Amino acid sequence: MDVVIRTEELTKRFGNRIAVDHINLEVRPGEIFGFLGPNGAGKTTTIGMLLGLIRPTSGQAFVLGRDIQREAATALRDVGAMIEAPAFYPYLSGRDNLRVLARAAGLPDRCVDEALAQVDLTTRARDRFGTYSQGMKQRLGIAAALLHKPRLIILDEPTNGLDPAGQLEIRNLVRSLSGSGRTVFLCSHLLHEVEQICQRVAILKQGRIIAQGEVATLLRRGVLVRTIGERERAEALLRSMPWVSRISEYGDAFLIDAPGDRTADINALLTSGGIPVAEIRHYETSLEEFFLEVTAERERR
Amino acid sequence: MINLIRAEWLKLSRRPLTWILLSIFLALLVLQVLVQFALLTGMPVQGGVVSAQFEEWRRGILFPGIFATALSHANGLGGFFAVIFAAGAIGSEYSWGTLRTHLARDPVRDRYLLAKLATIMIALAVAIVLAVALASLLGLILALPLGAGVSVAPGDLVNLIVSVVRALYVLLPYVLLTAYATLLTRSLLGGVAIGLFYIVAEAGFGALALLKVLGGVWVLIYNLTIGQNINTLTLMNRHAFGLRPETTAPLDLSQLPSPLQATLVIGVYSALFLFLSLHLFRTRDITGPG
Repeated sequence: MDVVIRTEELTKRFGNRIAVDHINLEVRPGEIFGFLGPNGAGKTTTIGMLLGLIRPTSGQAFVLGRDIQREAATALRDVGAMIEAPAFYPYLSGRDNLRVLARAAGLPDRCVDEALAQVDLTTRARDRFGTYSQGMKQRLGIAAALLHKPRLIILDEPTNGLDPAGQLEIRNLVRSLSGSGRTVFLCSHLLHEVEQICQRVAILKQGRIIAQGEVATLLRRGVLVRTIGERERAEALLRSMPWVSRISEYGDAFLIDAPGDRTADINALLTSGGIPVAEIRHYETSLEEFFLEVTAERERR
Repeated sequence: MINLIRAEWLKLSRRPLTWILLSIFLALLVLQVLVQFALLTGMPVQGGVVSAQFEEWRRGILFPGIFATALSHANGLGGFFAVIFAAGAIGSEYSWGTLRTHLARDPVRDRYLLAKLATIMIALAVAIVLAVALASLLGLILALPLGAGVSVAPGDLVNLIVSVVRALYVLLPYVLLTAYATLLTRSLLGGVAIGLFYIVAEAGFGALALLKVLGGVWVLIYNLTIGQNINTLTLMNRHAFGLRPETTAPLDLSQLPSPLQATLVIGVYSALFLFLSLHLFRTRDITGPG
């Protein structure tokens, strides 16, 4: 199978409001795919459509090769999901909540204990869900998603409410799931988290995908140069070089889109031109900066 | 389907609301029987209608009439409990957001709703059986001070099985109406409000009985209401165990729909509410909690 999730012009309208606007997504097997976007961008609506909970207004969604509108039962048999806040019965223990799901799916109780162990919740498994901290609720939500050992796992903000150690554990868990050949569709607003564990991302803004691709190619790499005065002359000198594709201001410095191995050439060029260099180093934008940049661009348009 | 019913049963059987409703339902049955007993033993018997009423009360707390008392309690006050129970079982899935958790795993909505409704009916059947068992225990205890014997013929036991099924059938349209109302409003309170309003309005609908004197279409309308047809079935349950409510209340048996009509009308209402519920549940988006 080439793709695990594919959407074609997927659209959802609620009355006059377009929540998801002709999106085309592609998630490949075994990857950790980050799905980003500000609040209200349409992430949860998209997940709802991928899980057959929300009917698209137009377009199609294919999960594990099946059209979700026609073959939802078959497609979702191999999908585990945690959508928004984990939702369970407050009067049941964590274990009994999973037993309800296991019974419905015809799974033995052994699967429940395995899933609880996987998220390190065994010791509190017999406590009522209503007494759980937010972090424990998140863990139980992930355990529920893993219960039937699905091939595709959709996680909506899985580290919400977890302390840094808990976040790290979940990140490691997600990595290990991907390592075991499963595909993870990760919805998160924690950009550093996505940057650390996702191979590819899609950024959603006001229902539209404004960027999609491999994290490594989306992030801007180049050379950061800070000179002591002489900014205009330095810029003109750099622009004359064929290997400089773009120069932009970055505070009191320049950000030059150029291969990283040109650092020495840039230094030589500026110093030979009599321009004192205060700082010169490799530079890579973070996903956070990229996100803010593309979402702001969209806003300006 | 069986797996889903087992899952639903685990949820319902562990839910405090289930036990609270069952306890109140059974406590009110005990209260009713004890009040009847107290009235029997504490009030001077007079002639005429009052005497007939006393005799009816007496039959109602002794075997086999005690069975009819339990079943009548299930179809009377039990209707209110069934509405709250059904609305709770369906509506809380919306407020807790658990509906999404389930349907994201198993998206066949018809199967999910049918399993839930089947489990609700199974739970109501258990409640009715418990009510009959408790009433039987009370009947055994009270037979002694009333100086009555305890005799249950094999025919009574057969009647009991048929009557329990009939009592459950009487509750079916209320449960399905409540299910529809809960799905429509996506809330427990909405389901309870509409379900209870219907029961109360139906009692008020008794005023329609006056329209019967106008004849023609009015009689037809009156005879097609749920309440009027249920009266036939509940009366059958009472007659099955020797009770004669028509001797103490202004009941014109000739005006009641036939058992066949009653069964069919209740069936049609139930099928209509079930169809509406399934259609609504199948076609609506499942969004966040609340």
